[in-house]
Amino acid sequence: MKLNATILIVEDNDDDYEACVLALKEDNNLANPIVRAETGDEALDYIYARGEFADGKRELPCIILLDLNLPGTDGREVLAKIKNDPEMRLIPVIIMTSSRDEFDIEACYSAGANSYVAKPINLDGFIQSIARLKEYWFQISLLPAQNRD
Amino acid sequence: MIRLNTGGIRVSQTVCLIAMLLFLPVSMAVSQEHGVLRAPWIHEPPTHYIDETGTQRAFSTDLTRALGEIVGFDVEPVEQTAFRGSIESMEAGKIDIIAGTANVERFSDNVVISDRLIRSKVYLFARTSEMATRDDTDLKGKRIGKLGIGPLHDGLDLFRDSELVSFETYYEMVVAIITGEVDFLIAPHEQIALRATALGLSGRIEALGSELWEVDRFVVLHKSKSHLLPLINDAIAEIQNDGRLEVIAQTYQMDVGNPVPDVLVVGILHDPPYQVIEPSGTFGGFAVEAITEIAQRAALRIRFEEIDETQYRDGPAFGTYDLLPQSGITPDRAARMLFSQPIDRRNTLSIMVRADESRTLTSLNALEGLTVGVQQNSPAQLLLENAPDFIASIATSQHDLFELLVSGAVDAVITEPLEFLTIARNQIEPGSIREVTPPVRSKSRAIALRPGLDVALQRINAVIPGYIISPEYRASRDSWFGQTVFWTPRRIYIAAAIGGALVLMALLFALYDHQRQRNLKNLAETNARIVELNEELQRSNSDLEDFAYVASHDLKEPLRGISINADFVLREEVPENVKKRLLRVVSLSHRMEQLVSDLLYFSRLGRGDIAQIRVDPNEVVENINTELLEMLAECNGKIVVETELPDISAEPAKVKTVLQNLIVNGLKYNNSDQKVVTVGFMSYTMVEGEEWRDVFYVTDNGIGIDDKYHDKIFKIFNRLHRESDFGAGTGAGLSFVKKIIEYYGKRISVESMPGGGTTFYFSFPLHLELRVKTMKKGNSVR
Repeated sequence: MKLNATILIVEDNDDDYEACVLALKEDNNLANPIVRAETGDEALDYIYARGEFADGKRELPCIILLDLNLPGTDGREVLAKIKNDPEMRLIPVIIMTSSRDEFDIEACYSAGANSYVAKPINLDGFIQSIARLKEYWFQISLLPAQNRD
Repeated sequence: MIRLNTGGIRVSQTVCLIAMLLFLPVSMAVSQEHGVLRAPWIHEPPTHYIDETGTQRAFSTDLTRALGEIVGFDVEPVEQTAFRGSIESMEAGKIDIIAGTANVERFSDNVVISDRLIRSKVYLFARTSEMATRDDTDLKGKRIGKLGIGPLHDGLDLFRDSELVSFETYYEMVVAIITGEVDFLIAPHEQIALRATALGLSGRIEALGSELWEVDRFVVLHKSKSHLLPLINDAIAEIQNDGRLEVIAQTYQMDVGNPVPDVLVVGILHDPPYQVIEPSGTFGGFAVEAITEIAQRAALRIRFEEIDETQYRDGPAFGTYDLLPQSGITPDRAARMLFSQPIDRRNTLSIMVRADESRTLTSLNALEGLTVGVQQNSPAQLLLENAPDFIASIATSQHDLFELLVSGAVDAVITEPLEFLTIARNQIEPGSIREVTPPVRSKSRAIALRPGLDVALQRINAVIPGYIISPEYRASRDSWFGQTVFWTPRRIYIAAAIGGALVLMALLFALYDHQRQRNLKNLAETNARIVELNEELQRSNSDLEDFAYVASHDLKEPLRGISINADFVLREEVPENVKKRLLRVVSLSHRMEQLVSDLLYFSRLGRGDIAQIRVDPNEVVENINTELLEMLAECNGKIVVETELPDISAEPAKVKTVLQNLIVNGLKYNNSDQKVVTVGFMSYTMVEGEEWRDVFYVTDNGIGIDDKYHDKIFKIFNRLHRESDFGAGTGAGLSFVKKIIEYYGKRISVESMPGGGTTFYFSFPLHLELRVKTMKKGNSVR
């Protein structure tokens, strides 16, 4: 994982985003830029360099943290779009949601989600969960070459 | 071939009684105009016998007495040993009269012979047993029995090659043929029939072919009494005509030799419309047409002869005429004649009213208090004696009676309707009167035959049913009685009743159908409503679940926000009291989050299809045991599987939820030093007084549950204890259990008492092994 690779967090809830960012930077060992999209549409605009990101300056994210319940185009649609696109499907998508619904879990993995994490109820939980995700995705896992460019 | 006529024996016995009654007064009478005539009598029972009064009886003797009654002499029977003796006695002047003998050639000039009295037929008889083997055409060398002094006739030449054997009496002849002494008999039919019947041998002798010849019988009178001959001839004619000869002959079966005359003489009395003699002399009428048709069908030849009222009243008799085409059947007449099956029914007495009569006068009782017309000396007048109290008006003729009714002098008339209606029909106003039904009296009418015509009667009876249903019968009736009014009041009544019943049935059916349609409509509506309600319920359920689901998610977001924000603050330096409050906020948020999670889980339990996966509950308990090892060690608890648990067909996660909740509860709400939760299965047990089959149970040695809480424990978020007593929990566990069990269509029950532990009984759909046995064909035949 390149240290400059962008992490896209799709999250409409400010508290959750804040907790997430806090957790990501907890050990001060993460240099990657973090981009936030507050809606599904915004996330897709970023990924496909459309709308406000049409200038093409955006960095393709190396990993996406995706909330499911979003205003407008929700996380499930965003996931489907990404995973149905041969260009984008290799980007790891980590579902981070409050839903523990078995149906959602199954549906997301079926759609190609790389991981499904239930949002912890408190900050400590966030810190622990994110720490493990960082360890796994940024240190243990080997990602496809495309994303390491 | 003619069988002996033995069927008439019953009739002859009856007639015999009548004959006895008839002649008893004669035998007791004294001093007749012509004194006493001596007649021969042979004691040869049962045909020649002495009756209860000591009177000598025989055909000949009875006949002589009948003649004596008319002519005016008494009879003194003189006993003989055989008929031969009678001839000798006559020659010797010891007897004066022999009635009914055929052997007139035997007598000398000392006698005078009367007119023919009766004619009988002579047959050749044989044994019935030889019927199949005998050759009736070959009499050569055969022994043929005959009465020794019997009828000498040229016909005997027929048997010149046969051996003729003479006998003294007919009895000896009958015995001789039965014993085989002779092969055939030559004799008058009635003589053999009579003796054979008397000896009980009637079925064993039969008459062959048609008669050989006929024998005329006469009255032989001693010359000294020749002055009585004209009187006796008159008397013969009289007894022939009045039926007395017939009765006597019938008594002694003298007529059986002539079963069916070639041509039956039909006596016709002018009695329209039944029997009509046209001025031209031709015969017509309903009865005439009927007998013509019936005779044709029965292959009988008939000839019509006009008779007078007296002959009609006396009825058909031997020597007069053979049958009446129609006669009313009365007991009196039935004793003297044979009647066929009825071919008509005639109203002999009816109530006649004016056509516009509005009162219902259908019975004699209805006439009470009214003025009623009857004809003088008519049967109707006889009715008056026993009839209800009505005012009678006597008319001298049918015409007068008609006038009485039409003029309004009487309210009704009781009369024989046919003639009355004929008169009415001939009047100016044909429709002015009508006959009231039912009739007061009616009489069946049938063909009357003289006695002895049994064979003809049988043939007539055989064709009457067919005739009555034939078009000829209807056409004949219609032409003589007028077109039958089909819609008689009786028929209208019946038709109305049937019609009414049909209408009623139709109405009932319509009502039923209507009700059914309505029910169907109601049913359809109900069904539609049920479908609607069901959809509504599903929608409602779905809405509720969606609500619970969405609400849970949406509730969780701010909860997490509260918790996280509190955590943010806690990361800063805060005073201890603020920190304590913030920790409480976090704690409550967690509790709230747990409640919402449980609610979410509870709402989702009812969703989706029922999974039918084979689950081994032993394994599930084992897994639970493993997961709870720490807790078990901590609380000194133990999970025991008491019996082998059968496989369940359900969703594994739900099976685990159920067992885990029950096991954990058993450990949690337990103060025992050694906490034991036992899991088991029973194929049969009684739970709360009911039979349960295939029951799982989870028993603990815990604190128990008071009866009054047994229902409450299954309600979501209901807790019986403070958190501090038995640890934290939302109080949703048992509600999950109950909902899961009920989701699978089963039930759960609790048995417990405070301090006595708790047992939960519940069922799951069992996984059933379908053992499909392959039936071997064996060696059965394909």
